[in-house]
Amino acid sequence: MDTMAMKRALTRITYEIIERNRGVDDLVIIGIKTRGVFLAQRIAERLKQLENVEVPVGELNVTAYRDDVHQLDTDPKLPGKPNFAFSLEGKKVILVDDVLYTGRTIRAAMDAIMDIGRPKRINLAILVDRGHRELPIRADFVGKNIPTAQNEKIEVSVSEIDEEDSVKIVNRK
Amino acid sequence: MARTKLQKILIIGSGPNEIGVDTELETATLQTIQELQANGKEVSLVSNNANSVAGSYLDEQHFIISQLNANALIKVLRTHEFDGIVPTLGGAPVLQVLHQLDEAGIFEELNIRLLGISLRTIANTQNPENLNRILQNIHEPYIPTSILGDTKEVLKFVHKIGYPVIIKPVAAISNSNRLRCENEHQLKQLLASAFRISTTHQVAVEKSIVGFKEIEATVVRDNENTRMLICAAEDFNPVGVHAGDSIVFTPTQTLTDQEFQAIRSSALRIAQEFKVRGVCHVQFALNQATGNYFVIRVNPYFDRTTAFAARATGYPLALVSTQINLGHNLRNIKIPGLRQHDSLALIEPTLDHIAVRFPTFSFASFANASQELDTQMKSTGAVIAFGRSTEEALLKAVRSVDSATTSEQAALDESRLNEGQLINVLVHPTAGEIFYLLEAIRRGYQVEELSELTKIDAFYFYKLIHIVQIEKNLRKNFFDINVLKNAKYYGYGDSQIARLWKCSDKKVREFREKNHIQPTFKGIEPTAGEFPYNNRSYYTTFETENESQISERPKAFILGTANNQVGTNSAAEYVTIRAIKTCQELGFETILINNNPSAVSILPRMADKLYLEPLTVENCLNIINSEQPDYVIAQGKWQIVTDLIEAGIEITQLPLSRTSRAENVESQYLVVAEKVNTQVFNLGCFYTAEDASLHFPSSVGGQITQKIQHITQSEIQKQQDGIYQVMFKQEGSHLVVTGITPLAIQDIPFMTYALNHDLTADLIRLVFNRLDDAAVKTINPVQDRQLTLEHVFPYEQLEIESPQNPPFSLAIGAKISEK
Amino acid sequence: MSERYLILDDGTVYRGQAFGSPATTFGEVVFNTSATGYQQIITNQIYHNQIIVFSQPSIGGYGIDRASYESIEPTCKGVIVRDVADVSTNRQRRLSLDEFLKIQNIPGISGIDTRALIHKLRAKGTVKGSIVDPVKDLAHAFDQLNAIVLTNQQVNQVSTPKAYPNPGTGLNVVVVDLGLKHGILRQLSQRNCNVTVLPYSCTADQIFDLDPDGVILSTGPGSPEDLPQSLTTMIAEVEQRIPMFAIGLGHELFAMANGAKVKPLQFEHHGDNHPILSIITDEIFYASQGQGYTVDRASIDRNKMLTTHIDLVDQSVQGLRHRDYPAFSVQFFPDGAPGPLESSELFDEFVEIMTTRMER
Repeated sequence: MDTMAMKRALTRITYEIIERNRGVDDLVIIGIKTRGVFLAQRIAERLKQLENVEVPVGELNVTAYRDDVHQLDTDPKLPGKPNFAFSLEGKKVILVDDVLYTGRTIRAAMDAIMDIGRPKRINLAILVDRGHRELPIRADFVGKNIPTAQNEKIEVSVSEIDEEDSVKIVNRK
Repeated sequence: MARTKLQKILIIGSGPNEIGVDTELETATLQTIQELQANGKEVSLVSNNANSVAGSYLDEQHFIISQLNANALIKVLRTHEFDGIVPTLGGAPVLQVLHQLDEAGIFEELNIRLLGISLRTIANTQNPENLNRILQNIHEPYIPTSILGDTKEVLKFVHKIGYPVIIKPVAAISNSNRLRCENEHQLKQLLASAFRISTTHQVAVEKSIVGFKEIEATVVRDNENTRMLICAAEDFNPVGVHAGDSIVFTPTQTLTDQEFQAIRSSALRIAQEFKVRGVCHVQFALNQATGNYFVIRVNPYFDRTTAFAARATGYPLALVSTQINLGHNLRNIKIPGLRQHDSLALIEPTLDHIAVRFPTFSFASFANASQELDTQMKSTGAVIAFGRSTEEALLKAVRSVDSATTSEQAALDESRLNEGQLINVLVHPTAGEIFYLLEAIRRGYQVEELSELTKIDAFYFYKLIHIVQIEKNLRKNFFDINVLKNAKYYGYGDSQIARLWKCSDKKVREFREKNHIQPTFKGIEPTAGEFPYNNRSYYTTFETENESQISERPKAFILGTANNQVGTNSAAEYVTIRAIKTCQELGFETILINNNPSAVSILPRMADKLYLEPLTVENCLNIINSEQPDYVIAQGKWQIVTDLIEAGIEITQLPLSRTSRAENVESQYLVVAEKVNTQVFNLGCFYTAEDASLHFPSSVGGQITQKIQHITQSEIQKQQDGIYQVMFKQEGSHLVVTGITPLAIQDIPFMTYALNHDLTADLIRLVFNRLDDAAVKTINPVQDRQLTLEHVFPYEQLEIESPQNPPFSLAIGAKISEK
Repeated sequence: MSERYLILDDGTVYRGQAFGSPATTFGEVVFNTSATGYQQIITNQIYHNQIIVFSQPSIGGYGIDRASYESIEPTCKGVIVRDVADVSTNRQRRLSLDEFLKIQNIPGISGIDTRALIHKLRAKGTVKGSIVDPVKDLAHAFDQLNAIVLTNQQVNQVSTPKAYPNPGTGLNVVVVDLGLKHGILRQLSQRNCNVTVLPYSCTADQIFDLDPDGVILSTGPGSPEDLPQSLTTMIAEVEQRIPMFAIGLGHELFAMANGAKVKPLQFEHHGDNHPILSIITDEIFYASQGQGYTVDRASIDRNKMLTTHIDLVDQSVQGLRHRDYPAFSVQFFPDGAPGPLESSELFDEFVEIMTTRMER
């Protein structure tokens, strides 16, 4: 996926969000750190362009909620409960991440969200779905399905921090 | 961190005129200065061009005289506190110097930033290896090149890139040429000797693109990545002839939409990838047989091509580029001219005329130089011509060259060439090529044959055949109205017709006027008539609609300087500009005729009205008949002035010498003196050295000064009002006056700068009896500075030996320096 | 070369030279400001009923080539140029423009002050014109010109009468032919789509029966208001079930099917140099345009459709998208031919919409 394809994917996801939600009322977008946040911001910018409405964007660090991280509570460096500048009560949350793989990150993100509020609905938008799910989780908005082997890795770059926009498949060594 | 404040800006200029550097960069520089100043910036220009027009728009503090090498510029940067530098107005040499300055760490140390392009963009576009690497990354075709050490490697590489290839030994023992190989047999043969003469036992191998079509794209990109194509131009000559020596057409004449769009997309992509902000010129080689193209050059700065793009389309390229450099984006930039739609800079230019850039040469003055056109540029200037058909544009260009300067052009008489000689000049393109091609057609050469011999697109031969058909028709039908009408419609000039009808130009003109075959004036603007436009520039054609509105104001019609030739030209351009300004101050509507695509005087904010037309009697008369100017102003006397006077036009000649300051007059001192209303003012004394350089102030002592003053007074008292130069020679203790002449055009810019007094303005005011002598009294020359003027000659570039004391009428430019 | 006249319904007469077919012709006179691609322009079916004035002064320089047809049988009524290049053959043994127009029975006239003519068209709006033989008394020619009623059945005349395939092995796409431009098929071919072209009279059920992944409404000539209402009914039905991409005339119909109104432009706009803003990405690009009608911005129901593209010169609507369905449209020609190719990625967007739906 190159710059153009990534741009198109985000554009299409934005339109699909509008289609599915019949507008942008009560919408909040939450990006999962690190690259999910930039993607979330880009979707929010597009919504602003189209609807002239600022949709709130939140950042979520889910490390503390992951079930495959065992040092919970023992590592002081881990962040605690997430804190947003807006309420999630009764909102339609669009959760955004770059790659959907086992589904464990998304489960953790949902735990974190549920910890702080009770949204009306949570939808998942993902740039790349690479398969190999370990949990019953499915994305509502998909940029691209890229079936991969276990020994492959999906590398997403965003121009905000990586100099370019791209998605590459690399072989894990 | 770059400082956020961007107040003091330095423009690095291009240096004096030489072959390959006309006033195009001066033109863009002046526009940039005006645009920056309009935005409240403090602008300085550093240059060593003695004839700098842009410099004349700045005061002494802001026109910095310096050599343009790294050491000198470091000094300049240290003594002034600049916030930013405009790097795009000095051509490729300045980019090299900027690279050196960067290596010296001066930008970081002084916290100066570059406007428009970054050092990285410079490195990426100017270093061929970087350029090819990046082009490869973005899948843009480039010319594959490699440096290899043995025959096997070379064969492998060539197998990949395909024949023909060009090989060149690396670091050769003797002077070596680039060798073209068509096949493996030839390659193997040539490689053996190439390796032998390489001190490193290496050869550079490159895919040969000789014979491909050359296309020049000019694009603009802004800070948010909006990109637009300003102009695509097509070279008449294929790759192998320097683009500056080729005739160039816009819009492209022979590109299919697929070819055109491929090149457009590529140029836009390149501007994006190289992160250009502002103007960018991308050069392509197109393989006609396959429709495939190669990127051969990326110039993210102003050059000859961007100047042609701006003039041919009427799009204010420098203005827009400067706005982008100041952080604005195309969607918010407004351009003058467009009367509706918020004057949107974003409308891509599209043309309803054909513009041609036509190279001019000065070989008559440099008889020993080779006239064969190759990859080394040889033309000393160019003309631009406009028409509504390819034939018309081309014929108007030919006519521009024909009129006063035929002798400066082709040294051979095409009609006297024997068959062998003719084929030779067809295969090896030579200055004045178009005349030989026309001759070949007259002799019955066929299109396929010509196209094969010259690698020029067959399309152009159809056009040339049409031109020759009209010529035949003219030869056969003397004073036939319909034949004349048709010839005029396709661009034949009265003088060209007169030659075929074996009569005087005047007779043709009278016959034409009697039969109401009159020119119409059309606007030059970038929307092809789609939008209402405030036209200011016009060209003539023979059609129905006349767009030139004639005002009621008093008018001064100024003859421009035409194509750059050796001699007076860049200085004459300077004088033209000062003349326009002074006439405007005196309340005239100024109307200019000029056809040098690089001229500063054809800028939008110069003359009130501009005719981009051949400087011929016919075209001048057309304009004079239409405009009915109160004055026709010419700088001194030259052929066209004589011809116009003969045609009954009263001409106001500025008392100037077009030949240079007394070439054969020996002198050591030169005094500039002005006589106004019986008073004589001694403006200043220069020292003239043996090498013809001019120095100010002269270092003469008290007594001699007094003597000089005294003699000047009495000598000038005998003259009419005017500005003069009085030359003195010292013979022992005696001072001998060796000459009194009007000012020489070549020296005026330097003298103006040194004396800090607008001499041209005085001349114009004198002519109109509007000079106030008080203005002359307050003259205030530069103090405590030693200025020197030296001439720049084209000998080295033409690869011929320079004589000991070359006459300065053969100088192409002039350098100013300060001790 | 023989003399011919171009006469306009306001009484003006222009003298010029004949090329192409010697027939007498009538049509609306419209101008095109593109720099390249006269062959694509002449063969574009949107010019049915129209005589094209080229602002580019020299036309015909690279002949006619096999890769530049936008329809096999062009239906424009004439060609007006300043200068027609006489290139009898060239490297690819192409037809010359003159030969081509003779074969296609399209009259041309050269030697016209096209800049003056365009100034007139800009001020007067669309005018009717005729290319006629030079006779002393033009009264009859003017009578005929004034009497002529141009058909409003253009789509009926240019749309394919029978369905036909353009096979590929990828996504299944139905193209509804309103006066199809080959560029659309070319773009779909490049993306390996398996295409079925249907006549403009096709019904929603006929489309559903083919079970396509997406439907394209093509470009075409004339006014959308002259077309049967069954078309907008079909669109309103299909858009709910199948991804839809509508172009040019298709865009105007798509807008009407969703409640918006179209209005005629004061003078037709044909060219490729207007900046177009993509609202969602805030990016500006250029595209080939050819339109006599525009969607009235005020008539767009904001609850039903989003405006996606705007022409920055006149602020006209250039793109729409349905809020509830994956259906979108553009006024300009994303397939270029001739013209910039920046917006051809709209075909990628369409393919990705279809792919995503299929994978779901």
